[in-house]
Amino acid sequence: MDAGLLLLVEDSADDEALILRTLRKNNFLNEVIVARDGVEALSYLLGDEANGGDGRIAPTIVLLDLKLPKIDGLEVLERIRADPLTRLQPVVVLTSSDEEADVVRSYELGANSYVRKPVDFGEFSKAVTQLGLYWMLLNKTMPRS
Amino acid sequence: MTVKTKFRVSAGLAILSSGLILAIVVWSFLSLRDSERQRDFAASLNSELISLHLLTTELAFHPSARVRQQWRIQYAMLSETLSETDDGARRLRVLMTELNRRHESLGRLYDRLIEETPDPESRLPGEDETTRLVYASILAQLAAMHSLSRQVLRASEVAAATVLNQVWYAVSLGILVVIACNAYVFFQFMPKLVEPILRLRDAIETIGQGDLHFQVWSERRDEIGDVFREVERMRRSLLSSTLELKELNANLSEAKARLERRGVQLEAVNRELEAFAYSVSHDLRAPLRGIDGFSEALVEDYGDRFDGNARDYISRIRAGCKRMGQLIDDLLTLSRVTRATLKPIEVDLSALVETMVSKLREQEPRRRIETEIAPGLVVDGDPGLLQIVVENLLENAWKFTSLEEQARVEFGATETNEERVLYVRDNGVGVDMRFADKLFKPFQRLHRDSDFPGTGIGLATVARVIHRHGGRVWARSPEGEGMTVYFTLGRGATTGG
Repeated sequence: MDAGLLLLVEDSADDEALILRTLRKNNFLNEVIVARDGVEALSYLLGDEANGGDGRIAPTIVLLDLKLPKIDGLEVLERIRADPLTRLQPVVVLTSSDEEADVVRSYELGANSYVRKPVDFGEFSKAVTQLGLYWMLLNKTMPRS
Repeated sequence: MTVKTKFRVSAGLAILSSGLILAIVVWSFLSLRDSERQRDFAASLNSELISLHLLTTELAFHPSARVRQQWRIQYAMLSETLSETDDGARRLRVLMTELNRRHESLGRLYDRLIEETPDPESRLPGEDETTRLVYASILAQLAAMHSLSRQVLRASEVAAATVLNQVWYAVSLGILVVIACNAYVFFQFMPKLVEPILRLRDAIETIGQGDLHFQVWSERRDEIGDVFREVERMRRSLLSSTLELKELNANLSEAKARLERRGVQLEAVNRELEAFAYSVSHDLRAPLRGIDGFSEALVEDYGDRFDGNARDYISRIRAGCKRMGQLIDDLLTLSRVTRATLKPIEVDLSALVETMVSKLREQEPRRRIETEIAPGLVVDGDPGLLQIVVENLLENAWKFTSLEEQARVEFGATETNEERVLYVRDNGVGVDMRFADKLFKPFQRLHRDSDFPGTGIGLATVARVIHRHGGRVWARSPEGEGMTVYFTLGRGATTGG
């Protein structure tokens, strides 16, 4: 159980700093883990696959960027949904892209939500805050063993 | 020699021989009849001579006036027989001359005998030597004539035999000629005619099955040779036109391949464009967000250390970010409008306008704007793209009427020449119509940004959507009376509302 844990998958250091700052400013006290590419994200979520998933984490929510080094966000999402241990993991796609193809593909792969990062910082921080509030406090997640 | 000539010669030869045979048969028939007549003549001559001989003998042993008269009658009959015969062959003519001479002398001897013994009852010859001599002469003449008649008979028989012989030879020869002609036709001429025809048939069959390189050749100088040469000529022209066709086909497939390659290239370019748009969307926005975010953080965390000037700079940085973000978004919309696949359905433009108007009113609740929206204007078009048109036109109308005390925005349609022209009209600042041609081109602005902010992409996007629907778009701005943007959606794109 990793209740209240947030996994941020983000390769841009700027975006990472801004998101963390926004969360902190809005009194978001939960633990945040940052993965900076797709491989790192998968190793957090699926653990050491050779040892049957040892050392994996199960965050309350994953904020997933699409454009990532090594393995991109859509593939990360696909792998999460393909693994029986993580197939119900709540994932919110948080990305700069508003390409229709990306939105459609994300939902097809089972994204729980799709949020576009606004350029305007005011709007951006509003979006991040609302996301944190909703998924950490409001939303009732699937009970886990 | 041509086939026609050969055919004519052999046929003519056969006809000629047949005619010859017929002529010979007719001639021999006439000749045989002649010799028959000659034989009859010889036979009657013979019998008359015998009768005369008997009567002459009777005059010697049983003289009487009646016998003398009978002798005369018999002699007259002999004269008649001799005179009736026309002289035919030369040999016969000689015999006839001899016969006539002896016949005349016979008459003279008899007359002399009668003169010397006037009494018809007295016996002939008389007692004297002279009458005896005359009488003997008469008998001799009769014997000679008898011999001559036998010669005539033999001559006629010889002539008949000769004719028969000749007929035999002539008919045999004629039949031989006819047989030879037929044999030539059947064993020499026909095979030479049939063999090349069969060969030609095989050749044509081979060519017909597609082997256009199968050469047809004949040395013959006749019509058969001509046929071969014509077929060869035909084969060559067929071959050349087939080659030409093949070349054309090759060219065509090459052109097709080129076109396909170009299509693939085009597709690649299109994909590149899409990738570019994606990069613009993602990569350009991320740093912008950083600039904006950290500027804000700067103000929030260190605001107390900045003077008014510094705050102004920061607010300018943030305005620049915002404007650039807008520019990127508009560009992406324009590119998306160009690439999107049209999915036309019935779209209620009036409803779209109503929704957009209430949204704009919400954004600027303080403004006093009078709107007039014609209801039920339904068109055929892509709903997503038409939404972009409506948004841009109304946003513009809202923007350019922002200085009016009593703003007015109108959406409606006019019918001209069976075409429905839709329009959005406002009573805002309008544009200088001298630059109207720049209105629908991207990045062209007719107002200063400080007066009316904008990216200059909105109307270009509108024009692109309208053009993709096969329609036209234009603007009118009579001085001081705002602006009207007119547009059509192409034939069949508008339906009655």
